[in-house]
Amino acid sequence: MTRTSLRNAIGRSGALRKPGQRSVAGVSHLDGASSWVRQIRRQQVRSSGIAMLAVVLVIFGLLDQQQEYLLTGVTALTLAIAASGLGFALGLGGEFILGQLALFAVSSYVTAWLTVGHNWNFWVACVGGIVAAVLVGLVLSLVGLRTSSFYFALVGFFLVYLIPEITQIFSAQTGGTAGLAVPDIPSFFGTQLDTRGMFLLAAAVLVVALIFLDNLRRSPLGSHLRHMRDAPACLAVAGVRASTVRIVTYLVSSALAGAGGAIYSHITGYLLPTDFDLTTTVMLFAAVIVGGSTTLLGPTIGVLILYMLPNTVFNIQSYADLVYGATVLASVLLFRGRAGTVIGNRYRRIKDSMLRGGNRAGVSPDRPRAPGTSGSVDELVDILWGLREGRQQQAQAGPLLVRGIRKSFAGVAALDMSPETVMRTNPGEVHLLLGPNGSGKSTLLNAICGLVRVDGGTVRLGDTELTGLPAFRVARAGISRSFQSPSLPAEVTPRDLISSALCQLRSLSYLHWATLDRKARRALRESRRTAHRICAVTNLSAAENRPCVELTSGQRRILDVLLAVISGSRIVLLDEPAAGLSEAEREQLGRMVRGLARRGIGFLVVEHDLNLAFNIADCLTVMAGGRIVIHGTPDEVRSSASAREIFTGVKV
Amino acid sequence: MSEFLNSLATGFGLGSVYGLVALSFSFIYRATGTFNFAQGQLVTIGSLLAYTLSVKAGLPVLVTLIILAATVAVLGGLTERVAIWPLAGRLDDNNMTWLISTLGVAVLLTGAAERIWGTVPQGVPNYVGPAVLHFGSGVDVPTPLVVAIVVAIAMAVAIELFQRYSLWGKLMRAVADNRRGVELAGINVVTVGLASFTLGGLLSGIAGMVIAPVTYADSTLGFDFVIYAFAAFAIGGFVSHWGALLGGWIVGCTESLGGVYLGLEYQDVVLFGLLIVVLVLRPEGLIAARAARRV
Repeated sequence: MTRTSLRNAIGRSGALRKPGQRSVAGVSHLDGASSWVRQIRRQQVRSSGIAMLAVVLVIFGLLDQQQEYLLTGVTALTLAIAASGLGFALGLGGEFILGQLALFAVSSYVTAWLTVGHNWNFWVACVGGIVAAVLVGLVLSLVGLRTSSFYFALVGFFLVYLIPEITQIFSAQTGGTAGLAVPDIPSFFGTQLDTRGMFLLAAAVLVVALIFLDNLRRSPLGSHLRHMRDAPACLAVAGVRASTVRIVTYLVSSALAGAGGAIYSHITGYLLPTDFDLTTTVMLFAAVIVGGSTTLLGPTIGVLILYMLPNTVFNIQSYADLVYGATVLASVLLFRGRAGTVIGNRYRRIKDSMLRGGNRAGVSPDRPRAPGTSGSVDELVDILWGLREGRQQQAQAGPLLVRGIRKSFAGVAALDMSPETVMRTNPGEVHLLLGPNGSGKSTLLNAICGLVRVDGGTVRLGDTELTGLPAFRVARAGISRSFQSPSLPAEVTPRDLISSALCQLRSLSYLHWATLDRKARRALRESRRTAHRICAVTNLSAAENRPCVELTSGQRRILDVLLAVISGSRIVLLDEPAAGLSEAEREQLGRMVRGLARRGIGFLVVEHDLNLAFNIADCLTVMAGGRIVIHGTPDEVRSSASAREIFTGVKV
Repeated sequence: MSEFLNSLATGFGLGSVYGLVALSFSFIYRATGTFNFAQGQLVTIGSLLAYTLSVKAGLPVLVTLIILAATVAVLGGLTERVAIWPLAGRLDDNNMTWLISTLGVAVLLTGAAERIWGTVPQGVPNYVGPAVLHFGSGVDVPTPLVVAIVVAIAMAVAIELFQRYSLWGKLMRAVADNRRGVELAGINVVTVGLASFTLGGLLSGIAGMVIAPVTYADSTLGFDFVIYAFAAFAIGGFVSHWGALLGGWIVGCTESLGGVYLGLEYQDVVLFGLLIVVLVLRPEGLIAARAARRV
C-alpha cells in the first residue's frame, strides 16, 4: 500500500514538473519551439536530483533488512527535512537559524503529547506539532526582525539549550528528564507503519519538502531571499518589504523543522530531552554547510553523510562532536563558507553543457542580433513596453515633484535646497541631473526613493505624498531605481533575475509559488521566455545563464537598469547608468531610455557622461553644493555661464 | 528580607561571574566585530587549568595565574589563526561565516577538554580569605563571589584604561569603528585582530580562574558560558564593556531571584523571556550609544 502510493506520489511529482503540452499551441515560431525544448530539458535536469534521491531512498527502505540501519536512516531523514529548511534560510537568505533543532523538538513533543495524552490521531497530531513549531518560530522571528541575524542566531541557540529545562517544567506532558514513552503506532489507511513504514513516510515527506523548496527557490521569493542576503537595499527599492520576506522564510523553515520533528516523535517510541542536544545542532549546521547551503539537495546529502556515517559505518559515535566540529571548521576554511557556491557552480557547468548538447542535437537556438543595432533596441523597447500594457489604466500618470529637500550628515549639508525650489520630472520626459562629485545627486535620489530620511522638504508623485515613506512603499507607488554600484545576488543568473522580476509583476501570492499551480507555472514559463528575449537583445545574450558574480561591470549595470525598468514604475531613477559601459552599450542604453520615454515613462538620470546626457535629455538640472544651480533645456544649459563654470572649472 | 538580600548578593556575585565572561566576549566583539563562540570554552579551560595547577600541582596562586593566563591567551590567538584569519577580507556585515568557524573551534575545544579532564566537575577551593564573608543583618556571601565582584569591576576599569590610553587599545577601537580606514592608514588589521583575540583569551583565562571556586572546574560548561555571556552582552548593550558588566549583574540577579522565588527549573526560562523582551523593545541593549545603530 505504502509502496504503491509512494511510487504514485513520485510519479505525480514527475508529471507535475514537466511543462504542459498545451503551451505548444500558444508558442509562436521557432523561438517558442526551441525554448520549449530547452524548457523540458531544464526541468528534467532540475528534478532529476530529487527523483534520484527518491529512488535511492525507496530502494534502501525496501531492501534493507537491518532494523538498526532503518532506525538510523529514518532519524537521519527527519533531520534532513529540518536541515533542508535550514539550508533554504541560510543559503538563500543568509539567516542563521541555530534554533532549528529547538523547533524540531517542540513539534516532536507536541505531537507525542497530543497522541499520548489526548489520544489524537497521529496525522492530526502532526499538524498540531507543525503549528506549534511555526508559532515558536514566529516568536523567535520577532527577535530576528528587530535585531541583527547574529543576535537571532544566538537566541535560537539559547532555545536549544533550554530544551531540558522546558521539558522539566512541563514534565507532566513531556516526562521530564526521564523521557516520554510514545507507544502509539501510526497507521496509514489501515496499514500499521513499522520502522520501514516510517522510513518510507519520512522519505516521502522529504521528497515533497524538496519539491516545495525547489518551487520556492525558483519563485520571486527565491530571488528576494538572495537579494536580502547580498543587497538588502535593492530589495526595498524593488518594492519588496524585507520583513515579509524574512517572516515567510522563518515560516517555511520552522514548518519544515516541525514536519521533521512530528515524524521523529513516533520513530523510537521514546522521546528524551537529550535527543535534542547542542551536538545535533552543530551537526545540522555542519551538514548544511558541507552539503552546500545554496544548493537544494546539499543539506539532505550533508545530513545523510554526517549522521549516517558516525552511527553506522564507522564506530565513532563517541567522537561525534569532534568529527562535527572538525567538519564544520574544515568546510568553512576550505570553501570559505561558500561550499554551496563551489559545488553549485560545478553542477551548473555540467547542467549547462547538457543543455547546450541538447540544443546542438535539436532545434538551433535563435541567434541574438549584435547588440547596439537599432533594431535590437527597438525590439527591447517593444518588449519592455509590452510588459506594461494592461497595467496602465490603474497607474495614473503624474509628475515627480521634489520640493526644498534638505539633508545633512553629521552636520555637513549634503542637500540644501531652499524651500521654494521645485524639481519636476514628468512622465515621458528624460530629466538629467548633472553636477560635480559631492554635489548631492545620489543623496537626492536616495531621498526620493526613501533610502535616506530627509530633514526637510517634500517628495510627491502626482497626488501621492511620498515624503518619509519607507523605500518599499515608494517603490510600490511607482518609482524604481538603479544603483551606482549595482549589487546583484551572486549565484543567480541574469535570466532568472529578470524572470523573477517579471513574475513579481503578476502579484501572485507565495502560496501559488510554493505549490507551483497552473497560474504560477504559466507565469514562470512566460516570464522565462520573455527574460530570454530581453537577454537576447541586450548585451546579456552570452551571459544569460551565468551567475551574476561572473558578469562584466557593463553587463551588471545593464541588468540593474533593466530590472528598474521592468518593475512597471512610472518614474525610473538611474544613478550613473553609463559608468563602465562601452561606447556601443552607452549608445544602446541612451536609445532604450529615449524609446521608453517616448512611450510615457519618466526618467531622472544622474550621469557624468556629458555627451550621453545632452543627447538623451529633455531637460537638465545642474547641482552644486547640495543646491540646484540651473534648470533648463539642453540648449539653455549649454549656453549658461554658471553651468559652464561648474563643468570646466573656469570662471567665465 | 534577609533571604531576599542574600539572594540579591548571590545574584550580584554570580552576575559578576557572568559579567567577567561577558567582558571577555565583548572585548573581542568590540575590537573585531566577531562573537567568538570558542570563548566560553576558553573560560572553562581557564578553570580546569586553575584546578590542575593550583589543586593538583599545588602551585602558588600567582604562579597559577601567570601560567594559566599565558596558556589561554595563546589558545585565544590560535582561535584567531584557525577560525578568523583564513577568512580575512570576508569579515563584512553580511557574512557571518565567523559564527560557524568559531562554533567549530568551540566544539573541538569542548571535545578536547572533556577528553583531557573528564566530565566530572572538580572543586577548586577558595584562593584567599575565609569561605564566607558576613555582612551583618544575616547577609552571608561566599568569598569567591566577593572576589568575582571586585575582579569584574577591576577588569572593566582596566579595559577602559587600556582602550582609552594605550596605543593598541586605541587601534582596536579604530579597527572596530572603521576597519578599511585603519587598513588604508597602513596598519595591519590582521595583527590587530590577532592581538584582540589573544588579549580576549587572556581575559577569559583570568575569568575562568576567578570563577572556578564558584562554578567548579567543569569541562562541559563552555556553551553555558556562551549563553550567559551573550544574554549579559545583549541585555546590557554591546557598545561599551560597562554594558557587559551591567548585563551580567542583571542576568545574575534574574537567575538568583528567579531560582529562589520560582524554582530552579525556571531560572533560565525567565532569563530567556527577559532577553526576548529586551531585544524586542530595545534591540540595542540597555546601555546604547547616542546614535543607536542596528547591530
